[in-house]
Amino acid sequence: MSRKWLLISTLVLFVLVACATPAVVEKKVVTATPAPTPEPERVNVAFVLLWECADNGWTAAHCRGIQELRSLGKVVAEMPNSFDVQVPDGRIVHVAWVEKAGDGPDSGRIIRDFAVKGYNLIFATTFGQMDFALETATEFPAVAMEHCSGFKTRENMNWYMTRNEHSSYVSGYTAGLLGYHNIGIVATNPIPEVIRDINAFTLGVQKGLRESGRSDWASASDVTTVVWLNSWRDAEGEATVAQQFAKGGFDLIRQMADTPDSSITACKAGVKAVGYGMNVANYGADCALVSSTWLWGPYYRRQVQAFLAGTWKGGQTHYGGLGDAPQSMAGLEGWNVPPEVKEKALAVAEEIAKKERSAVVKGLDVASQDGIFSGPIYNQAGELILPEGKNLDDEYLLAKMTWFVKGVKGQTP
Amino acid sequence: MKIRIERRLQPSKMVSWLAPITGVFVAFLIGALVIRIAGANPIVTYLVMLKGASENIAEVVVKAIPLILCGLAVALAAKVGFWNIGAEGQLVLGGMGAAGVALFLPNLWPSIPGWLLIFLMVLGGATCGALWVLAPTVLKVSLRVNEILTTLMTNYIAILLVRYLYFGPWRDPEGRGFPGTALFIPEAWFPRFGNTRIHLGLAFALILPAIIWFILSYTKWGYQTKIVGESQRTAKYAGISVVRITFVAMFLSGGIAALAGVGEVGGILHRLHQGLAVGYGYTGLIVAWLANLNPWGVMVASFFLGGLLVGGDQVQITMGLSASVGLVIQGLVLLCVLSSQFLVRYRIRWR
Repeated sequence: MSRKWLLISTLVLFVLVACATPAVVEKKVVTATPAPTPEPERVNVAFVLLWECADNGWTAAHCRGIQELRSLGKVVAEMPNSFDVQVPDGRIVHVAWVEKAGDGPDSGRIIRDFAVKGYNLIFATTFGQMDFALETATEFPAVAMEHCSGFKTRENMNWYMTRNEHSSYVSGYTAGLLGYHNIGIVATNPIPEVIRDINAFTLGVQKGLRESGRSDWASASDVTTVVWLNSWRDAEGEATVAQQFAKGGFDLIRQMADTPDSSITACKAGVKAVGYGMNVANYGADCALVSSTWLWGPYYRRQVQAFLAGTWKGGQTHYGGLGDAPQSMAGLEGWNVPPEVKEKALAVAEEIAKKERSAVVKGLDVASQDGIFSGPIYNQAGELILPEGKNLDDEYLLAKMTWFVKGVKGQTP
Repeated sequence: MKIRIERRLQPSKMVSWLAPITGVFVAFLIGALVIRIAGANPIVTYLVMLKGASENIAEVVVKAIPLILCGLAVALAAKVGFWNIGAEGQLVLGGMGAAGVALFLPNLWPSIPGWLLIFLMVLGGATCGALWVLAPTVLKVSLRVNEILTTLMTNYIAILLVRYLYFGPWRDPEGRGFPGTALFIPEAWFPRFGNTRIHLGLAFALILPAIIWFILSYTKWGYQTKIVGESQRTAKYAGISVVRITFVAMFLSGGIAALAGVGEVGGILHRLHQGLAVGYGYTGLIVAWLANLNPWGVMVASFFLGGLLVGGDQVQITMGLSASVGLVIQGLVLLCVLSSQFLVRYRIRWR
């Protein structure tokens, strides 16, 4: 048999294999759309995701939020990476998403591509996509752009982020009530967002310890110990650090990465954990006390509905916590503690939520009202940074928190 | 039927071109199997990829620019017998050099003309990249230290060095503490073609392969370089300074890879942050081998790989396949193309 025949037979085989497969995934029409002759007006919503929905962390939380858009109406079409929802007034909201867009130049292309294809409302879901989102928003002024966890806005671009210091404070308080005072924190990147999260958690632990009669522990200088992964997700690194914490006699491990590996490793090593991002008990860390999570669904529903109603506004910054309306953006899921502890923790959460709601109604800066970063607060060196009666405000929290509170053992750059 | 494997007397010219193409074909065949297992129709998938790439040619070009430059750098180094796995680090250093100029020169000289600023960004970036490959070259030439290891290691050092810069001294003071430098002033943004993202880097990506091809084919230095690559002993007998040729070639190689970083930073990112090191240096290895180390082939291979990746985006939405399909095929292409090199030196005979 000559070479030529080998080539030809391979080609034939290839064609046969290809033809034997079913055709392209058909658009499954779930229910018949009502048949008025003009096509119902379409509104196209896109989400540009950092990683995959199966990452059990940051992107999984966004995907969960995306799925909540199904409740806007009746799902009339179902496709691999998108679905169509028919809302009560007859319009069709087409929701599509791209996974693993990353936060490099490829994400810029994907964001712009959505704008070129006529998508009306685009959500860029990670910090690194900020400038690309801004660029596309500038080039396509008719597009409504939403960017998560950044800080730039434009007349047609908003930024939104969760006040995870709320949920971290409450989960820290829970840990403190239960007497944990030697906590290992598997932290990600040393930026103000993460630093204030760690600070809020530690302040919560200290409050819990004081309330359960262990003030001596509360005033120790190493209630929490921080190790930086220098990455948002690093499964092996997380597992290694968690193991070191477990071996080193720490009594609790607080996850902060986008993947649940530190919590899972903690549970395996017999040390309790506090999860992050999503409910880690769903991924094998069933010893977790609670997880402080992202609840993006309510915000996504609200923004899509605003767009449909014609009331979507750009240039907004949305920084919502436990008291966000209509529902909290900061989640506390997977409670696994004695009922009286959970009750106390939820009471503190409700207090914070009330304060946030009243601050918003009065037009006041939320951080200065929610009672978390209220004086007296000392830094690691024992200096009084915030005297009694004073509060930090949003601007400080977002931009200037580059130091740890007393009680945190660890370094900031 | 008996199969015999015979060594060719002379590597066949025709086969040396047919081999990579066969490799690509086989890669697509295996890729079809993978796609089929994932539950989709391979032909439709490939057509969707083709459609996705052809509807977005501008983005394919944007993607091809750093691939061409990195591929060229790797190919040039390979011509002189040096495996440059460090293109990624050189790219990052190039970005660093360009960023350094863009961030600090306007403060020292506020009225600097735009063209001069960009010219100095390019020069600064290229120099940094060229210097970055110096250490592995010195080690190889003087102590015969394997350059695959040294250049690979320098990648990690480069990425960490740049990370230190944009987390530390170069961090944007207005950046809310997030890592990354400030955005460059508009004068430091590379000009773009029309309303696409194709930037000045395209000029380098088109001109440099031509220049390198010309040097290699028609100049004395080019000829000497090829001899050094084929056999250092022959070169020494011919009185060619292996050390000098290697240094010059590597200096060029590092500089060209750095230009990829300069382009990304000046034309797309407009700042220095973690979005720079995304793997173009490593993909450049695939490009160089796919292109048979030929400068023109590098351009073709880069557009091909760029199209693969851009088309791969579409596959996610339309076919519901994982976002990794494009990457899987890319890996298969490298594997199959390298394996197909076997056919260049050996022929298969069957009776």
